[in-house]
Amino acid sequence: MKVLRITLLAALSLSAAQGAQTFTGIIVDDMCAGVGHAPMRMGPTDAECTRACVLSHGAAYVLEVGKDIYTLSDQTAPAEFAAQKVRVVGTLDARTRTIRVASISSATDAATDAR
Amino acid sequence: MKSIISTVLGLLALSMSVLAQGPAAPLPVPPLAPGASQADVDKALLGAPERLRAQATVIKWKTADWTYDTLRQGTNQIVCFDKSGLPGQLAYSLECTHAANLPRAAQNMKFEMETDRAKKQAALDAAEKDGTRAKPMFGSVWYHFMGADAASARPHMTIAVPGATAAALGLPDNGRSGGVWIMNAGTSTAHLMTPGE
Repeated sequence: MKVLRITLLAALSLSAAQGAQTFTGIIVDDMCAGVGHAPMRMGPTDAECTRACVLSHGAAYVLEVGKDIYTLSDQTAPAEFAAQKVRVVGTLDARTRTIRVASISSATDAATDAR
Repeated sequence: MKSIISTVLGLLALSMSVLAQGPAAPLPVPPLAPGASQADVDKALLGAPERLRAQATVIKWKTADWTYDTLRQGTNQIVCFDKSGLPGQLAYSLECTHAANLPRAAQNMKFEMETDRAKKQAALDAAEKDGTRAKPMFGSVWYHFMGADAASARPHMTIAVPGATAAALGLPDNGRSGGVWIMNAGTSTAHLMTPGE
């Protein structure tokens, strides 16, 4: 029984790991994805503007990867990366285009925007 | 005396018949265009405030050239469309606005096709500068309902005031006051932002 349980747990964690992908893009808010924030004057920088959209207008942080916009399950961690290029590791729900976030890290040195 | 009683009774009968009519009957729901799906129409209409839905027009964009098919011709001035999953959009994204804003809406989506953020902004700036950016109708409303799916979607509403400035409207051009303010003041994109909307 114990062996069976361990085997099942191993299989589950393996499948979860296999589903994880890395997405490289920019953290923006869902109200103003795809455009520069500077002319909006929500804040002195794109980052401040993005955060203000979330705080003052109820927007949500999303990841912009080219033409694709992904909802992020974690709405806390993206704040520190607002308007920055990041690398998000997580599993994608294709139907809702939602990434269940495992980690977010800066990707300012990343070579491309490609997934 | 008899004539006075008759007159009073007549007036009473008349007023009762007027009261008995109750509120006006709702307008008939506009029919679907041939081949249009009721489900597509119903979904797009969720982007509009409830009281505007019954008589709104619904269209479906053709991504090849950003023209559109009319799924239902309504009788009010609101037009709704489903942008779910289109370039630059969330998985669930509905939009409704004044019919006069359709050229602007089509142009917005053409710009969204550009994947490079800097190039896209440069193209928007250039169109603004050379006067080719389609202007929305001053005072028209843009309604959005968007999210990962229908259950998590949130509304967002703005009022277009193209070209408006803080001096012209007497409203601030930044959100620091916590009240209604003009975003992108002085441009064709200028719009009123309402906290919480």
